[in-house]
Amino acid sequence: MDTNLIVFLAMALVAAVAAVGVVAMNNPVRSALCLVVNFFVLAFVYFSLRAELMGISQILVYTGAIMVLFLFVIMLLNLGGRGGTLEERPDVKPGIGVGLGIALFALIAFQVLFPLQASATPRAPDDYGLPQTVGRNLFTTYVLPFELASVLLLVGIVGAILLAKRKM
Amino acid sequence: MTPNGYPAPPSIDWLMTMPALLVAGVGIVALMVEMFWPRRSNSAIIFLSLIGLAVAGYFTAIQFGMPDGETFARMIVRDRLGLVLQLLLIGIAFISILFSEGYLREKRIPFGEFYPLLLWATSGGMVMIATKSLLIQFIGLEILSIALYVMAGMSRNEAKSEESAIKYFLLGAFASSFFLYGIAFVYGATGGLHLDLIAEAWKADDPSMRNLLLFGFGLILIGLSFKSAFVPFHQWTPDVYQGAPTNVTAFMAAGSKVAAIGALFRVLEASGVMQEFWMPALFWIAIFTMTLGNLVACTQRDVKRTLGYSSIANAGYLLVALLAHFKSPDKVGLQATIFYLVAYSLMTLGAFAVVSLAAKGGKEGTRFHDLAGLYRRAPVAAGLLVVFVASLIGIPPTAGFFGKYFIFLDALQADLAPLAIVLAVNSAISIYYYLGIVRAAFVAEDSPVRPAMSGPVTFGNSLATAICAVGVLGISFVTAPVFEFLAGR
Amino acid sequence: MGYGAIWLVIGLPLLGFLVQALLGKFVIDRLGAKRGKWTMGLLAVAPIAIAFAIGAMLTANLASLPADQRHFVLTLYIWITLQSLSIPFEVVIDPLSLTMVLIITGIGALIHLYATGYMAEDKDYPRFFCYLNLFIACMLVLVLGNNLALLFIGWEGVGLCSYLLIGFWYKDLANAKAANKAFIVNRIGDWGLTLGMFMLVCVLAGASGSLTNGGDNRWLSYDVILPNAIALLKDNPGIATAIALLIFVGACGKSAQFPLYLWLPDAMAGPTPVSALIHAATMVTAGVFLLNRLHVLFELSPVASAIVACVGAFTALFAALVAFGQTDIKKVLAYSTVSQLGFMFIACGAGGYWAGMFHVTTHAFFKALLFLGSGAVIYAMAHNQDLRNYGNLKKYLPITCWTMFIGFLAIAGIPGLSGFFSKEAILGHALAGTFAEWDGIRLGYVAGWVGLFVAALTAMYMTRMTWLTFFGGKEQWRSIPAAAHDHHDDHSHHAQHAEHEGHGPDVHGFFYTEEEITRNRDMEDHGHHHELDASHTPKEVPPSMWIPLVALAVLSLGGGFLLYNGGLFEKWLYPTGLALLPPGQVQAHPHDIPLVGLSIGAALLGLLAGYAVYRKGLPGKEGWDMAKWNPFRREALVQFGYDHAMVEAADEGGGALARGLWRFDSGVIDGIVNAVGGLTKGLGDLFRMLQTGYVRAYALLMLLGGIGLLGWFLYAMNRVGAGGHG
Repeated sequence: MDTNLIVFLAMALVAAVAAVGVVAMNNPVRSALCLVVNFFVLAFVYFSLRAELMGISQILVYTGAIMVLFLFVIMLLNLGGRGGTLEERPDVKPGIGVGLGIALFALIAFQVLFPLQASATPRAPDDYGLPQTVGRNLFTTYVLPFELASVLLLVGIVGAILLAKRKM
Repeated sequence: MTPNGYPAPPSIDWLMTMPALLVAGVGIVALMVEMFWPRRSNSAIIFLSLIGLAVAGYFTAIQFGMPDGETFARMIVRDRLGLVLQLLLIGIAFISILFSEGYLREKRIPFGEFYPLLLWATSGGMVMIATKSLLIQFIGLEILSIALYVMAGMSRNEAKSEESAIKYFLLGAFASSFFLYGIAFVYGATGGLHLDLIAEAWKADDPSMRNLLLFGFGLILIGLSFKSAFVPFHQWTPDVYQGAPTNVTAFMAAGSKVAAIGALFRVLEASGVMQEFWMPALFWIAIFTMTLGNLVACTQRDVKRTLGYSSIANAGYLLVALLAHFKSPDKVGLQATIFYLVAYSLMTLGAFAVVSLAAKGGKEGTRFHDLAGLYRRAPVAAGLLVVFVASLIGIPPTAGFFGKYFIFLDALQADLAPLAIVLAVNSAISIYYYLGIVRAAFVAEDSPVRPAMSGPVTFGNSLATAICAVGVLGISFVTAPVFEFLAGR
Repeated sequence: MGYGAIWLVIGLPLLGFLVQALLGKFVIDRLGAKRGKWTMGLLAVAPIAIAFAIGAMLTANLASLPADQRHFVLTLYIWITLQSLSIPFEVVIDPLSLTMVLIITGIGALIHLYATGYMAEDKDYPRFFCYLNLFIACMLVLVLGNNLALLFIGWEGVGLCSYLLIGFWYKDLANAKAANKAFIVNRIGDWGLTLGMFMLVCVLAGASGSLTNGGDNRWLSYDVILPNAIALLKDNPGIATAIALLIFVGACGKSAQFPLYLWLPDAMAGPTPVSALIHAATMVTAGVFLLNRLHVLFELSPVASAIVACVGAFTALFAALVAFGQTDIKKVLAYSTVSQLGFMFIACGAGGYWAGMFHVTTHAFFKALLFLGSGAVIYAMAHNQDLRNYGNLKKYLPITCWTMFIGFLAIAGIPGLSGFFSKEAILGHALAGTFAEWDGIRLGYVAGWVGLFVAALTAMYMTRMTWLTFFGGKEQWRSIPAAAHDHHDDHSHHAQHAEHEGHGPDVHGFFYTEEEITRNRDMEDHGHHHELDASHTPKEVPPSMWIPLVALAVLSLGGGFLLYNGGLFEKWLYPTGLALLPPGQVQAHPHDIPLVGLSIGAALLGLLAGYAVYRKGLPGKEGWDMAKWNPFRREALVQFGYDHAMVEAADEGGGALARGLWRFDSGVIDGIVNAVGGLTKGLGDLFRMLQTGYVRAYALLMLLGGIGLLGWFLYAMNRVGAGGHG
């Protein structure tokens, strides 16, 4: 086990715990903060994979913009502060869900990840993840998906307005 | 690679991308019209949308006979299947728009934004079909889905509409995550996003890569099964169909299914090398989908819910057709699948268009007894409902009969006799609930206490149902030419 | 003119149908009743007339070709393609189909013309022509289609039109019942026809491997059926007999043969032009046409042919006897039609297929003439149809009288007129042929003698009808008290005398608005629709009605000779003789019997006997008081109880059977069905319980499904070892 793997596992553990926290926390503010942690750690994972641009975008866009927006909304709606806004009846479903999730994870881990880790060597070109490379690719090979993604965003915006606007 | 070491800009055949981009572009223009004249009636937007769809249809239709190929760095593909399904999607959007305005008005939600969203959803579905790139497929799927989530929740003062939107959103996001996860696996195994790479990577015969590919494929399959409403990924269907505004449900039932089946075909075709693994699984999924859809439909008392389950069952029939094709591609072509998609789209759209007449004054009743007396208030519409239901049941000479019949034959040809038998038995079961719909429309109004609702029959609605009825009845007289056309002969 | 013009022949009546259906009401509303009806009448006649012209030109074209090349198949497009069967929309152009085309469009055009006059005062004028044009189109599909599927489309199409037209005045319950009867009885025939078709396809397609037809799988097309049927069934007469008999059941239904004839007399409830066109000249000959089309199948089976001849002979005799008891002029003609159709089947059974078609042709001439003439009489007599109210009409209706007289002579078989030649050919085949035999008994021969006897009967009952109507000096309607119909309590008299074609507005207002009822009542008051009584003076019919009569009279007079002369018709239809039977077995003239003399004798005997009895008009023994009738005639009036028995049996026996079945059904079948239904529903409910409405439950199921799918992959991969070594 080399250092790389140890660093990765450490970050992955934090990310996973934070992700569980997002779902497990009853207080929305705490949930959101857990999400911040998760996003941050993910950005570090990207860095460690030499995907600097991805990492920076992750921090800027998600942690910076989106999370702040989340928190704003939570504050404005005054969901924070009061504990136990979301109350649930005791139910077996979360238990089953957890069980099934672990089963899925185990399935993938044992059948895919371990054999892969044993046999495959990571491969990436030298300029992988550089802003220049990403930019060039986005505007050459991947220009169509890039533009379609803008349509996707437009749909999201219009949809949000349609669902939220006051007048009927 | 260009001299400076960067990838060359892709060569572009604009004609291939034209239809989808045009539909998306018209959506943007329509949104601007809504923006600048917000309080006017929606006629301008509708007119613009219909014209745009017609032009896009034209640009799709002229591509028949042109050589197959890929463009935009292999992001967009042109082949007969893609063109036919794109054209079908355009037609579905066209018909949906025709009967939407009257319905939305009666429902008191005449938002101009609906039309751009519908157009974008259409363009999303179109790129899903017209690509062999998993990336494009995913983005197309998301455009389609998000637009549908919004449209499903459009009737904001109805709890069930909001409920359906949020359910669809949550479960759709769940399914999308499977899909995306699968794409990541496939990317890991192939180093690319193009579907053709799957076969190459598989042939490399590296066991761990094969595991990765197969699991990636499985995850993608889950995502698409959700969209196609295969059991056990089907449960959103009745709830969402029931809650969404009826015109949205119509588009969802027809358009979204066409896109999902088209994408599924692309993925299955590319994964033909793994057929020994997925064929048995999909075999059972098909059986469960047909049977469960029909059985539960028998217990329903709401027309839209019933049709929701019927759409699950129909997804099963379509899966049978696909499996028959992949089981023995030499003997069985894709014609039955496409034919049934066309037939299914027409009869479903028609049925929903008639059901949408139940809306009046902001209210809408879609339970069976709300249809009571429809034949008095709108005799023609009720008569056409009989046609659509007859087609859904599969009574000759309707399109539904021929569609099911061809699937049945294909299944037998491909040595999938159990599927053929299950299909036949299920068709018999389905008569029960389909006839329930007709009966509901033809019983007299039962009590004055709960007067049945009905809005006026608009011209758009008449036109839409007429197109569907003519299609459902007419296509059976030209099955042979249609089949030859679909086979590309 | 290319043979593609045949599509016009079918298309024009279809177009006419659409025009009548879509524009009729509009035009009449726009142009007013008189001009509107004139326009629509023209638009109804013109397509048929043009189609006739095209048909005639095509016939001329075809006739100019060598005899062995007179066969074309034109395909419009492939309608149904299956693995082992393809059914195109295709027509066949050959002498047989074109002969039928000429009859249908030629006679049809004349009858359409006649109907423009006859129906002039009916408010549903366009509806009538709409049905009539549709009928012509369907009939053309029937005869021109090159496969049994198209024939069946036409077959059902004409059946539908017949149903619609019999019930044209649908507000009268009797008409509606007659329409239903026709429809239902014809279903029995269709049962046979479809089974025959299926069996034929089964036999052919099942043996497709051993056939050398180049993979042509149009198993319903004649040009595929006929050659292959010979090859396949030659050594298998049992199957040939089965198929032939099943098809004959179909022919019996449509062509009104015993035991399925009983719808035809009732069908006279329709307007008279309909009786002429559908129930005498064209539709009822479809069965004969079918036998000609598929004559190879019957040639393969002497047994089936013998049965055909016997059924034909019995029907001819039976219907001729019944005709003696009828007092309704149209009923007499209806039974004579049934009887003449019997003659046609005698011919077909004896292998004289061309003679059958020949009689179809001449019968179309003189029976259309007689029906149209009777229509003119009915029209002139205030829609009263009872022979006992007529007499001495030659004074008032000279044109009608003498044209009808020609028709009468033709059907009676007077030498020189058309009926003589065709009947002669039929009897000749029956008496000379040795083909139609069963177990060594020459049933065709027997049928021939029966036919000869029936020929005498025909002459006699037709004399009865003619003399009672036109001659006999006494004007019977003069004895009806004036304004008898105003005394509605006088039921007996009213019912006796006022037996007329039942139409008129429905005063109950079920189908009409108040306004329309008023208008209709006005029409009735001012219009033609008064009752027949002593004050009535018959008037000759308008030109649009007598011109067709004259044209048909000319055809009845000379048509037979022209076609018979030099074997013209026979060589046209069957230039090379039959497919299988040697000329010795089927021949037109018996050597040992002086047939010409016998048949002239029979005709004259019948005529003279009739003249002797009815010379003075209505004999007292056949008057209004039925107690004075002789028992035979009383029985004949009610078809010797056959109709009653059948209806009773169908009604009561069917009822008892149905009740029995119901008991079985409610106990056993319902039990099973309910159990299955219950199981279905139970399963449905079970699955529905999964549909809790909770998103997380749905997501859980999805997750479970995903794990199941991936787990299966895992299992499968380890099983086949793809994960291990690939």
